[in-house]
Amino acid sequence: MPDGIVRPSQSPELEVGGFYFAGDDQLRITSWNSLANVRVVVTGRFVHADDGHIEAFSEVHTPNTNRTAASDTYGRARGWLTDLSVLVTGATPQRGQTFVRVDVVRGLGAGAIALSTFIQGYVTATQRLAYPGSIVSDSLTGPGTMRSITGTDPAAGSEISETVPTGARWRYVSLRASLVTDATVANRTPNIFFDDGANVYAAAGVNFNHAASTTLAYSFDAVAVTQVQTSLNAQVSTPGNLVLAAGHRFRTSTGSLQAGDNWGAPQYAVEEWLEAI
Amino acid sequence: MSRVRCRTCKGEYDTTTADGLPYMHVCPPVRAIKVRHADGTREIVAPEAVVATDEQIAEIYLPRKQGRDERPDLENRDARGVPRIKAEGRGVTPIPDDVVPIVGLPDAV
Repeated sequence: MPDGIVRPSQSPELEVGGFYFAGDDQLRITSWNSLANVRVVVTGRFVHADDGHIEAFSEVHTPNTNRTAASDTYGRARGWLTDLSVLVTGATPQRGQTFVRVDVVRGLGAGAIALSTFIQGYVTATQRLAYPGSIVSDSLTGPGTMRSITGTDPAAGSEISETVPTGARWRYVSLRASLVTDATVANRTPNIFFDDGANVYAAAGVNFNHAASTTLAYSFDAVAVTQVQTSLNAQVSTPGNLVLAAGHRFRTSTGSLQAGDNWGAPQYAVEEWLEAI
Repeated sequence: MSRVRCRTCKGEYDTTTADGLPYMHVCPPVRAIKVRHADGTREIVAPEAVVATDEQIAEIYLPRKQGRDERPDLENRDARGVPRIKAEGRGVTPIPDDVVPIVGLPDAV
């Protein structure tokens, strides 16, 4: 280039559109996932610098199922990544259950330096992420997955307590559970507490008494009016739009709960996102 | 899916939720009452130990001794790099599903 002008025929890096890999750059796939049997498949095309041939590649990555990060690194020769896409096989996660990031890194293991990010976002079996095209989004943006969960059925005399799993963020929607009281004469007063694992930041409770030897199914939700609906059902109004981070809890706290009183297994609805940590 | 009983808190749960995700049991805290006795001394006691002459100061919840916590411990991983659970507690006991027979309902499954 004596005249200072880069001509395409002299600089093959400029003849192919795409991201240039220098030979010691690699693709790294990192995932956060909560569903069993998920396989993340990354497909794409790569133009080799040595002979110009176009390679169609496919890499399969297996995420963890406990919402913790899993990553694999795949070597790439010198050349250009022209495009790639990501989707899921092996299971059908909803949006909010499988989050994927694809980076280009230099180096190996913990010492690898992330140079750039191609893709980051939720992926399903039918909704792909693609480079170029997809925006790089964070795991807490947009709708999560709606879940209906059966919690732990506590022993008699114990309270309900449910903890947001590590790597998850929940928006509390509602909880329903039955309380069977024993024959001990006392006025039970169920409450629901929301805490950060230790300190209570929101609470709601009844404005009536639950007597001995009776069964009531309680619904704790934000649109309820606190009242005994029928002889079998009661509603408790809770604070609305409560978003709970990993480790936060919601639990009952029942005034005058007796050793023979028995809460049944709670059924609760939450919206869940992955906290990509 | 399998059903187990926690040997620490005696709670029962399915290890997988209906939507196919793993369920991570954490033992509930222990309920206690902070009281001021008639002689002016203060104690944290079990709810059933509160007597009529006690002044109830506060309701508190204490971590359960040998509590089980099935959430992953990011600082404690096995040889494959998979996080172990935070606390085994006293372990769990498998229990059979509580299947109640359907009788006299020919149209039900």
